[in-house]
Amino acid sequence: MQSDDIIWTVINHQFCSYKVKTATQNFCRNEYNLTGFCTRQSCPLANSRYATVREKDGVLYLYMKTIERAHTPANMWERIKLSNNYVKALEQIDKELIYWPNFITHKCKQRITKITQYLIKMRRLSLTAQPKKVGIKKKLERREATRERKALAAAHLEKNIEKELLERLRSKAYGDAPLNVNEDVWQQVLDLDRKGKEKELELDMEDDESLLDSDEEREEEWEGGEREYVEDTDDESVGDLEDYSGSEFDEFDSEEEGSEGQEFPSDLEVSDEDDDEEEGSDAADEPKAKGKAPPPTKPTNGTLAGTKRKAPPKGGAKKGARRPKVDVEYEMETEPLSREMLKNW
Amino acid sequence: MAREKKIKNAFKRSEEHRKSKREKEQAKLARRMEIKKAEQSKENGAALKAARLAKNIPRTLDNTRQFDATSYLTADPATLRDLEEKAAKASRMINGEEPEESDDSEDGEDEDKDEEMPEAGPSNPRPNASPPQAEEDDDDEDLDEGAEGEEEEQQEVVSDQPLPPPKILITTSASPCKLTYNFVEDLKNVFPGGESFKRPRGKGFEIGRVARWAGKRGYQALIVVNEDHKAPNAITLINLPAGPTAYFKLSSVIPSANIYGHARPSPHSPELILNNFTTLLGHSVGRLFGSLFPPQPQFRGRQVVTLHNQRDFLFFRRHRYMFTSPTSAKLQEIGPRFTLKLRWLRKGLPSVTAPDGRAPAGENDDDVDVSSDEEVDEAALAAREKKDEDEAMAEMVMPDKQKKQKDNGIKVPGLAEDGEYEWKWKPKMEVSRRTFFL
Repeated sequence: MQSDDIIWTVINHQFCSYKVKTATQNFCRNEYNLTGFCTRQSCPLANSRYATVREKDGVLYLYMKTIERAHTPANMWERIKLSNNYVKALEQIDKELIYWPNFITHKCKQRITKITQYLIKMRRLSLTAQPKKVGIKKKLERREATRERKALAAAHLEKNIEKELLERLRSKAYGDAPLNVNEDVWQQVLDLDRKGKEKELELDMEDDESLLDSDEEREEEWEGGEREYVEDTDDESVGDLEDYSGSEFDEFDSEEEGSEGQEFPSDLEVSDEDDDEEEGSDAADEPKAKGKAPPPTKPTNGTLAGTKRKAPPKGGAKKGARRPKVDVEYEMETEPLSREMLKNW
Repeated sequence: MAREKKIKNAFKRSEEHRKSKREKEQAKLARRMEIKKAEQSKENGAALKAARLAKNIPRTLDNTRQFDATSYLTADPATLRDLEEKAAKASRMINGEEPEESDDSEDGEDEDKDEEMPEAGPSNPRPNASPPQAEEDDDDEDLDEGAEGEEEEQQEVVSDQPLPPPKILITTSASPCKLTYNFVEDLKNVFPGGESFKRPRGKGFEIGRVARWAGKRGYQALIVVNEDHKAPNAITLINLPAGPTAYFKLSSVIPSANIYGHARPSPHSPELILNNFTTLLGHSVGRLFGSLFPPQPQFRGRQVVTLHNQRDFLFFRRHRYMFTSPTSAKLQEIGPRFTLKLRWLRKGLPSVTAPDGRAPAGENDDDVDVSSDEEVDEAALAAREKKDEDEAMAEMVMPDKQKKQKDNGIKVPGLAEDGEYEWKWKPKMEVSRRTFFL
């Protein structure tokens, strides 16, 4: 026998598996519940005459339960398909649930309204372009981040950009009078170019003459000539300036060694005119006359102005022990210095 | 020779192992010191070193790259050329023509290498005989616009003024965050023709619609910066009016303000360096980027924009350069720094509507004023939403006949969702570490 009150007391006070308790409210998880709350009027288990509206795949159905079928759970709920038209659906509700309690009909109509509204919204939403949601794949992200880091390291960006720009400069892609280069640098480029062409011509013609252009100032290897200058070691300090004397350079064209410091050759010439004869003989005496090529960027000291140059300091002698030295004798007002005197300077 | 028996005493065994290891290492060190000494000697040193370096080339991923042979877009260009030649030969033999020897292949090569890149921006009928300097620049690996400067100068004599920079519209997904907004501002001054506009959420502002609208208004490209987790994470680059759409993943975005010692950008058109694009796919991506910049760079500005492809990652850099000597140049970084990775490339524009092809009548196009950065204020948005709700209520009450008539909007054929990708990256493509696609 069906007794709603007893069912309700049990559900309310003891246990109902559909009940969800929260601080303020009790909810009912039963699918046929009309309101969603756990109350006496809206519990589908504790009311033998009950009705709900549910939608499936966009179609609204009215479900009704009566006491006559309470003993056959399989056929308990009667399902009636409601019209798609909202107004007609409401009228249908009125017709089916005539003589039913107001609470139930009212809530059913409210449900119809809500469901119709959200169905419309869904349809409308599917028309607009929704952003496509893509899952974050952590492994993938991690892998790609690592690869990106390594690719960046392998790319040598600044070097490549520099290389490319210099290529364009040298290949005259900027035209004849480019706006993005310094005048001097552009001149250097043109000179390099010219030299390159001359070298090519030289090779073609198999000419053995050495090229002694006045423009040959750069780090380019000094070609041909009677003697070759070979660099001994890499560490050349400023102190080496004092190793130079005019004698070595008199015999050869001084302009090659002058490099960027253009005062240098003239200084040499000035200082060495006096010393020419004696030092020339002295230099010739030395069997190994190896001169050091001057470092490319030589700071021009103020001390070069003097005609007589100081003897190399003690440190120079020590360095000389490691590598071939320039054995040079300077002329002073006194007799020329020997190495011992130099050491004891 | 029998293998040496294992010493059963663990301590003794480990001692012996340590000793032998040390011996081996000492031997190796001795060898290396000898080599070093030999190379430092005066006579043969440099030659020996050069020989050693030439022999021991380190094996890198870039050295041992394997081209992805599944599609002609990502295949090895050398093999493609061979195939072309073979096909040409075969067709000639079939048709019984005289074999024309070198012209065809050479022309093909020239076309591939020299003429592709310079075609940036509005198409200039470029003479096919490029100056010899251009051929020096172009290797198999580099695409650049170096030859452009000269050719443009030649052509400027013909045309009156330099062409205006291509207009580019930059926008974001709806409601961008601060980072994204700043990124867009940075992008605006990267491209000389760049303009941005705030894109509202809602019906009339789908990418496809915006793209067609911008095409009508004369923009050359549309860039949409996508945002996720409060940071820009992707860029959709759409070439207008009907051009290809490319989607890149964006990472490592560093705005210029965060670069220490950054230079200030100037409005000059930059030079372009596009490095390392080898396959056909790479070429098309490179060309896409080239078309965003004005074809004639202003060398006076000394700005250079680099897009360097390394292992499928495109590194974007912007520098101001200065030549300090014929062998060295100095770079000062200007602008934003970011990396891109191509995810997919499609022909055509993105679809405007839902896949079923329905679209409400396009009244919104004329209302939107994009050239000025107008804000769509809250009230307008709220009004629009309320309008939607009212429509919904009205729809419920409407009888059926009226509903059907309302749906009769403009039909715009959109692209099918799944197909029509020229190239799409899938994670399963990354089987081998040595396969790259660009």
